[in-house]
Amino acid sequence: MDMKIEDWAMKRDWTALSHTEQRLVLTQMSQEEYQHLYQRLQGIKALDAEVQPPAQLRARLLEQLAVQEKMERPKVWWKRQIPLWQAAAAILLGVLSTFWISKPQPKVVEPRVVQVRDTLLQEKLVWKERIVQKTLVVYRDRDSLQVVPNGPKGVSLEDAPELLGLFTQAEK
Amino acid sequence: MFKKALEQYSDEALMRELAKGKQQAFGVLYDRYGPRMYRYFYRMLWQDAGKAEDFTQELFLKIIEKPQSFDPSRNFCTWLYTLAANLCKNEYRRKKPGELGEMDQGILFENFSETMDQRLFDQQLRRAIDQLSANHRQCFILRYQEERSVAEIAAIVGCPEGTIKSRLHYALQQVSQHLEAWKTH
Repeated sequence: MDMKIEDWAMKRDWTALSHTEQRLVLTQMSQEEYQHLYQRLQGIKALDAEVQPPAQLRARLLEQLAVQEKMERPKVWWKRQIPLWQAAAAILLGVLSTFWISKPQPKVVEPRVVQVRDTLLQEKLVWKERIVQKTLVVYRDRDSLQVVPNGPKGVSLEDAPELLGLFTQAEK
Repeated sequence: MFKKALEQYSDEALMRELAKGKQQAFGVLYDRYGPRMYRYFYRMLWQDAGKAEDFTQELFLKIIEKPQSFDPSRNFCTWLYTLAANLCKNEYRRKKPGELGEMDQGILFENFSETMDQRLFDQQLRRAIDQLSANHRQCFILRYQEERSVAEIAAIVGCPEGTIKSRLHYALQQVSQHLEAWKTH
């Protein structure tokens, strides 16, 4: 049997069908058979149709729902109600904390002119004047080949310290 | 005004509201499906009112406890019937084979002395439905008593549509034969 016909039979009797629908039904069954099917299906549908659940079942379920709600859904913290003084104190604490907690500032390097005194060691040549006494030896123009009889003989420097001093002073 | 607005919500939207914690959504859902599911259990579980009440409660408790287990992209009605069908299946498994027969007898001969034709017919119809196998009874009830489409039944039971059509055809045939036999008897 066509499911479409069954659908019609579940809701409408023969007279409620359109001519097109009736023609389609007649291709598969007679009018009496359709009407019989309709009545049978209506009887099946009506069976125990008056049965209703007890009224307290709904109340019980709603009660259970309320219990479940309390158990499984704890209040979220932002919906929790607190006393006014606690809210005020929290705000005050928040404001004060902004003073206490200073934010780290980035360091700015500023150029400064600094005067620094320092000691320099400088080596200085100091000229000192002194008087050096020198004996000027004057050589006379004389013929060297001329021998002076009984002339002074040569004297060793070791024997004449004043002469030696003359030499040494000149070196200094 | 708010309640009226909730009543205009679709089943899926109500489930979303319930998952968010809106308790009124559950009330609306129960009003829509509570009596229907109770009747379904009553029919599936051998017209036992106590069992029907227990199972209805268990079914809706599942919704209360885990509303987020419902996938809003699915059809709520189909999902609910799937849960209900699974509960019935578990109950069928739990029942001992002998126990079922005794229960049927008790139900079948209850008020059998009534002379009203309609009551007798109803009694016979129940008997015919109860004599069907669990699978056939499930399909039969969903189709002809709960008025679900074949596609929906296939989704609820988890079988191809062809199988459902075959089961329906067989179930309807069995019930008709039983009623014909009773009439001619």
